[in-house]
Amino acid sequence: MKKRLIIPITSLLALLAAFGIGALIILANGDSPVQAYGALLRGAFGSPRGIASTLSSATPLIFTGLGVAVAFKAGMANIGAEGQLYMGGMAAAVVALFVPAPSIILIPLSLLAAFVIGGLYGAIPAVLKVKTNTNEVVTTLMLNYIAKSFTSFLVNYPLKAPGSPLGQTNNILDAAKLPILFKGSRFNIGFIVAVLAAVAVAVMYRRSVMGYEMRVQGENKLFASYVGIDVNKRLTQGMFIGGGLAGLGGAVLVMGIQYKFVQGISPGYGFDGLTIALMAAFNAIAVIPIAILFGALRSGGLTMEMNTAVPSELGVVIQAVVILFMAARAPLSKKVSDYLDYRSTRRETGKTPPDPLKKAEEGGAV
Amino acid sequence: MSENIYAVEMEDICKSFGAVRANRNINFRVLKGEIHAIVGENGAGKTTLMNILFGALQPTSGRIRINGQEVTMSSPNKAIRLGIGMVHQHFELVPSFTVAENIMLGHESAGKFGAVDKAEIYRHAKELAEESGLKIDPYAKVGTLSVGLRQRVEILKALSCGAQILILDEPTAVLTPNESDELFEVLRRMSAQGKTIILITHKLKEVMAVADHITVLRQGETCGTLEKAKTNHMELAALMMGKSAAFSPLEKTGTTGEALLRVDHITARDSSRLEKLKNVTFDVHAGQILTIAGVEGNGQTELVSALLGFLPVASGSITALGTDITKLPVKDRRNYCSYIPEDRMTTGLDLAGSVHDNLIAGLHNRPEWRKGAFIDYAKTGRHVDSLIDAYAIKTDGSGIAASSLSGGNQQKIVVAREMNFGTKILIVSQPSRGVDIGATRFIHEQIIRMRNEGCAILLISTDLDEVFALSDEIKVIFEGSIVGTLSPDAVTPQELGLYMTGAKKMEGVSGTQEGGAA
Repeated sequence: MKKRLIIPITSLLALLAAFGIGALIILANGDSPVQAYGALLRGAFGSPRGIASTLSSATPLIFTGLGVAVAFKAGMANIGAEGQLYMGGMAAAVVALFVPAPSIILIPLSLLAAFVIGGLYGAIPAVLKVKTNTNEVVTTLMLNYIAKSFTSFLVNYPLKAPGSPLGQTNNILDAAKLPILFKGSRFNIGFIVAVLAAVAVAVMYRRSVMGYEMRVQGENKLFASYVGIDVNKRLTQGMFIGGGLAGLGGAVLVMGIQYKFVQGISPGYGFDGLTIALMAAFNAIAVIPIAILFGALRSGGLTMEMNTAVPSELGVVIQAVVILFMAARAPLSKKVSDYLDYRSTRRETGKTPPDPLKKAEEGGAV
Repeated sequence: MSENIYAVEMEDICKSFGAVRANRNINFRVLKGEIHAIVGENGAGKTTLMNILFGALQPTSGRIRINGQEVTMSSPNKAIRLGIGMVHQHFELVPSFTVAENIMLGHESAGKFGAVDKAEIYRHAKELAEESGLKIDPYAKVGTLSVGLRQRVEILKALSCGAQILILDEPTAVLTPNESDELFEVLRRMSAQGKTIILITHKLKEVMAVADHITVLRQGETCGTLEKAKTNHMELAALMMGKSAAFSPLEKTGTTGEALLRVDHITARDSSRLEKLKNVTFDVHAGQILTIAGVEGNGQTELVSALLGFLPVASGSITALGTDITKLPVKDRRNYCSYIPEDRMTTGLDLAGSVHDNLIAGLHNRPEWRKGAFIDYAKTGRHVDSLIDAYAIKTDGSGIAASSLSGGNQQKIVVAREMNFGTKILIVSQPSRGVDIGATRFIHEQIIRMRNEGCAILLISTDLDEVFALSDEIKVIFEGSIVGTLSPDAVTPQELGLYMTGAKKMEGVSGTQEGGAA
């Protein structure tokens, strides 16, 4: 086994373990895990409609996953994708509500607004960090509440749809709705934009001067400054791009799913983005399949609920368990890596050193 | 049982860190009351072995006997109970506490109601200092003491715990030559009093000066224990390096040319407005190694920061290749100066980054290495491959993380990058700091090669051997001022030491003496 495979393999183990624990919960409720998971799979991937629904659920998750990944690579622990999503979504909604223009202009303009506003919102913690050395974990987390409350205020007062009992805006202009890719679903071009964004991020990091500098300063600021990298600038840019991508997550919700800004528009996509980015080890391309998996849990969960007695909340349970196991991944990876060393030592010397890792072997995925 | 003559016996000690086997079947015995030196290159496993003896690390396998008794060294506390004390390379003292408070920290004698009995602490500290002959004022605040005295506090602290076996990890790394001599005097006295001293070092001169027996480690294995009287420099060096390592002085060729780096009366203050550089002036010429010698903390860090653009100068100017760079940002200055930092592992390398990314850092934003907004990876890839080749960097391709390379190869990355920056000015800080003989020699050779090729080299060093081995001219820095301009041929180490400690000064030396070349 190669060491570079440790991260994907431990991620997969975490996922399998989560499904295993989910199965235990289903069993404890007196249901059949096989049936429940069968329904989940069928719902998520069993039909073109199911696949469309899965991919459309995955779209905002790709954006928030990217938003978190980019920021982390630039050395910023961005826990604020949720807030950036809200601000970006609101910016897209405002443009999509009030700018009378043809689709060809309105859609890019709305997306741009979402990117810029989400990005600026994301840049706030970066500026605070640069100017006052404030811990970004705290600021990004707190800014989530501000964004959520601020957008709630907007949809309940100045932007409230007249006559609506709920806190929501009017429907956006038709020209701003993202074109549907699969009839009868809301699977739209937002997904393609998300995939392109992931590719763009990957290219930025692997090829561009900006990406190189962002990465290097994210890994070692002292070193970066000595080789002439403007650390503060790159760190802020990283957060701006990260916030912008999360903001696009809000835009695709508004322009592709809801067609309006609804109070509490995101059921935690920003936080899911954090899990996804961690599982992907901040690799932009890896974000895509993992986001699709999370989308499948959401879309397949509904089918499972309809066809079995297992509630769709099981998907949330599985996600939560995945997060727990992901947190355990770092020590687990170390144990796996230690074990590989142990094996190679044994092979090279022919001696058997006392196995320091018996527990890791017995514990398996755990 | 009869009296055992060995204070410490370590048998078949093995220790692995992941894939790295730091200690392999090490056998190591120390006689009671002797000074025993452990020498070896960096990464030879010296510190690991001592951390195992001190209980800070657990061996993968092997046995330890203290005074003939087999023990499991489960923690430093256990080691201390067994009479072992360790003085670390980096002191673990509270600067705002007095000497006595530091010495007694952790085992203060409790007075009434559990309060610390201050009088007792000072009495005990005084007693200890007198007994051991380590003279020190117990009432002085540690923060105000010199490095040498702080080390004394560390030793006293170990003794106050009842240490009979004292481990010193590279104790002279931070000392001036005179302080080192004093330390050796102290060690000899302690050994005469029956204490056992284990000295970790890679400076052979010290070993020959003070040790009774010498154990040489190489690549995690014992290469033998020698008696001082029956060995010499050459034999030790050969054992350490694993090959016959004759110290042939590198030849300097070529002539000194025009001044490439001119530092003109610069003054700089740190963030707390303290003046750290006072009217510093010097020129570095093409084909010259100018050394700024001095005891650490006399403005060397600030000088480098000012040259590279991290510390703004309050007055004066810096000129590189005829261009005034005083106001330029770091990025632009790097087009004139390459820099090998003292702390190569954190300042010189991005350990999480790939070998490739480390080797192109700083070059990456120069137009010739770019294609618009993108790095020309085809070109940088070729450059990186040629550097890996030329410097024989042992790596499994250029894509793997720098952290997975050995320490010596990591050092080579820094040297390879900075010496191929295409600049005519090279600033090198403490090239031999934390580096073994092999790597030091490599870096020294490269510095002389650059000099012979006509580069202007500014060397910052606190190591006298290095200063004499490399310098064409020496400037001594003391408390932010240049206090002497010396020629390495016309000054003795002792005299240089006097300048470095501020005991001697030249009058009116802030100007350069080589006006003719400019």
